[in-house]
Amino acid sequence: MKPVYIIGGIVVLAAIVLGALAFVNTLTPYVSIAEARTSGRTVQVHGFLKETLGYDAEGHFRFVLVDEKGDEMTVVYGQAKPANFEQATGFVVIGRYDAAAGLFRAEQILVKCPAKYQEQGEATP
Amino acid sequence: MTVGSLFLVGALLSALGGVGTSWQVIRGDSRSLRWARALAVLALILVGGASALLLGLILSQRYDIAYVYLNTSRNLAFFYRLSALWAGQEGSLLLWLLLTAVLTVLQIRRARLLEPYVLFFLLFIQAGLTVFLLVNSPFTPTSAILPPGTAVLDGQGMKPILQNPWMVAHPPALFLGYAGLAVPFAYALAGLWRRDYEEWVVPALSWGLLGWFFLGMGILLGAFWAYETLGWGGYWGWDPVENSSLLPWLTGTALLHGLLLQRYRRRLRHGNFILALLTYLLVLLATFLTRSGVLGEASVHSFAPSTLTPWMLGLMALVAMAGSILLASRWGDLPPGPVFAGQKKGGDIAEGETAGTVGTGLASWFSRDFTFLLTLLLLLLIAAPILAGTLLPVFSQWVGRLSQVDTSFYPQTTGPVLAVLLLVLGLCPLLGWRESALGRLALLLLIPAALAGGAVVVAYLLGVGRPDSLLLILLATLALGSNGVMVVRTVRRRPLHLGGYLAHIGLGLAVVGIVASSVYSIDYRDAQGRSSLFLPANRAQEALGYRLTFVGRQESGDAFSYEKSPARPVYYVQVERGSEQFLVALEELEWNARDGSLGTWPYVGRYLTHDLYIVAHAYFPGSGEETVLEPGQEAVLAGYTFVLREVQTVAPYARAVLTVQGNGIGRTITPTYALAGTSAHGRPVSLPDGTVVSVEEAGFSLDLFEGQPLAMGTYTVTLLDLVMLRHDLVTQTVAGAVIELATSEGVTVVTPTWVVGVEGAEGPPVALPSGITVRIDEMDVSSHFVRLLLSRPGLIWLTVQRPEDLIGTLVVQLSIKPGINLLWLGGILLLVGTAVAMVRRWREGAIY
Repeated sequence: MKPVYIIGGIVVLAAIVLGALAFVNTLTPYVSIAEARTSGRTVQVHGFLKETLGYDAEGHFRFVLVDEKGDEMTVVYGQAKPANFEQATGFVVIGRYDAAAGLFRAEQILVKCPAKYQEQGEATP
Repeated sequence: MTVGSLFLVGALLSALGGVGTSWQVIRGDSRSLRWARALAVLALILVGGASALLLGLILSQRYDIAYVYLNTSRNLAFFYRLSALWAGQEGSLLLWLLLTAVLTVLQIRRARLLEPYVLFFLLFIQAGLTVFLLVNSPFTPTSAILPPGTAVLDGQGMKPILQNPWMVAHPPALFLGYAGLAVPFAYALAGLWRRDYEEWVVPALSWGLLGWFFLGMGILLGAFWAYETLGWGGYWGWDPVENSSLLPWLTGTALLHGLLLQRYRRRLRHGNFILALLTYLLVLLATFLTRSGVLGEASVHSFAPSTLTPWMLGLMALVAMAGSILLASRWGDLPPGPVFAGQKKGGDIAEGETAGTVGTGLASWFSRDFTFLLTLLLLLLIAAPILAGTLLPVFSQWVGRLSQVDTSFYPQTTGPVLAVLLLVLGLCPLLGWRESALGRLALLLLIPAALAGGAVVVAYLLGVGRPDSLLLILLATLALGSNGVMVVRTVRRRPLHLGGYLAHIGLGLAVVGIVASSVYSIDYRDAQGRSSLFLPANRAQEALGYRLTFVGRQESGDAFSYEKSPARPVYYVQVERGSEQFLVALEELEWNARDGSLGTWPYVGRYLTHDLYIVAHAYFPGSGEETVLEPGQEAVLAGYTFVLREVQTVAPYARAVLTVQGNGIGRTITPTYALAGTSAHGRPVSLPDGTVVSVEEAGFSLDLFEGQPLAMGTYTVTLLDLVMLRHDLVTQTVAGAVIELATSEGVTVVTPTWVVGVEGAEGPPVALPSGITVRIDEMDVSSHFVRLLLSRPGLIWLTVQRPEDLIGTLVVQLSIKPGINLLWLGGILLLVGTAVAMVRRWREGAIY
């Protein structure tokens, strides 16, 4: 066994452990709205815009998301309305369901645009 | 078959013919080489012809061609009309093919003994790309994608965010990068086939540097574009599209270092073949991920499922198979390099400035040998989690439920590896290839270590408190310092040897810039933690030490802007800080009047140490002061006294006769308004100071469902029935609503009508004996619903808007991004360093 392999092995092993830990922490499954309501963790929900509610008293943007099963929930987003929101063909909202408030608090909204140029598009913070 | 398709079919046949003739040359028929070369040139000419044809179709505005229709429009500026050639999917594929064809022809004669092999693989790839274009042709007529009989007068146009100079340059750079990385791949397979395990390294290095340079430039331009146009304040979102272009860049970096290691130390023969193959597979994977629709819902980008998917998978599979079969068959034949053992004497030690004693037995840990190997490993360890995270949505769909990692996965996994890489980068340049004396190393490290220590102190004093940030800054500046030392030591004697050092300095600067601008970005937050700064017109607001005043919105924008077309509204914000004062123009991309949401190009104010980043995300037009008036009544609004004298009705208009007094004027004005239920528009009146007086009909609106009575004042109102009075498909349809108005004194039944004509619908008013008029504002027969408007003649709704009310309120976000210039400067240095290295390698391998 050459020392270089040992060093390399240690580095690789460390990276794998690191990667596995990060993976477990950041894994967010796609769920339906019904599942999002009961799951306490950060999830991604794919759905469509039912209705824009505009900015609430706190200046947060709200809208009603409806998923493929027809379930609905109100989504609150602490930031500005994403670009191309109305033209979007669908959304992925990433965040947690706040059971007390009966709202989905989105940390991130991915807007799926009917982009003509598929190489580049919007990224959201 | 169209001319365009003919070009493409011809290009495909030439490329396939070239593959066949190259095969014959390889089998010993050297006379066929002429044919292989001729066919490669012919393929280039035909692809060039197809490209020229597409450009011609775009410039002559042939909207009957789907590509032209989807990507351009009549009002598109000429500059962007040119870039439309690669703004769409098919066009960018064509550009990629064209660049690959150019690079193929450049290998003729230059590749010497490897030429038929190199032509074989490059023409094979060309054939694959041409098939993509035939499946997904840029010459498809518009009639194929629109319903039959649709007239096409104008195109859909280019998205405004793509109308940006950086976006014009980004795809050509990226695709030149992708095309360039095909060359080292072809040389690697050629080397394997010919059992020529050393010679291929020289041209692979030259051409690999070219591809790597342009891929890096493409990524950098894309990041800069995202920062300049997308308005979320960042330059890298860890989106699959971005990740997939970074992956071949990372393995390409590893390949270049591996090739150097093989050239100087005869090491890593196996590894370099693997890296060359892997890099090109990742190039193909990038285009597959971004175009095939396989990522589906997992990306921000909308990926329409493409007909290309099986073809792309096919090409990837063929490339992977050809590569692995060749590699497997030569694996045992490859001479094993000394991995980390005794050195063979000789080999050209080009940069042995600090080479210590010639190694015997085990070389030192402190040698470039070891640090190069470690660098390769670390680069792959950065690429691995990015690849895993990017592919997770694809594979998780197969094994169960679609999952994705949060974007924080990427910095969490790559950050620590990057830190180790920077440490290696800080030591490596000071080391000799084989071994270095530790004392000498320590001496050389003095200046970089002092620099890094200083940088950490300065960063700490500037407010950088997080240990991980401080560590990255420490290691990045150490790398910067030791490469800087080498620059000073090399610059006079061998300026062409500077490339690597400059590139490494660039990387160090970029890391400091990334840490500063991402972790230490200062975003405006109000007391409630909201990032929105509300700017009512002409009232200065303080934020992050700046005074911002929203001074106006200009409807037409800059009509003469050569860059952007057509002109869009512009929002002007006055920004002040101390004696500094400037006007920021935020050009609108889209505005939704219903909820006020707004998209604008961001404003980026560049300073040496930071950027000021302002983007608007909502706009609410002013409301002004308003009241209800009836004839003879007086009201004071916005400092003026208004008296309504009378209202004259001339359907569909009404005219309010008002006297207005105040602010030194006294006069009679007559704003007009449209009666509710009509599609006419009234005309407001402007006072000398710019205050606008507008009038609307005042009334109550009642939503009635059939059979459900509603109380309104002394009345109980019920919708009894909806009746069709006249139905004429050609001109108009008249429906009536039978309404019962009941009071204690009796019951009245009226039937106001709803007239649906060619130009819209309206409800003519019906006057009741009591003086009230009733009209229908909205009717829905299927749900048995009407919205009624009840009003008294002469009752008006008066709105008075001061100039500042007219301007409205703009909502902006602003942030200060420290050190972002370090990132751009670092990126540019990285490219400059690569360019220097390219010149050096091209001169060394002049024949290639």
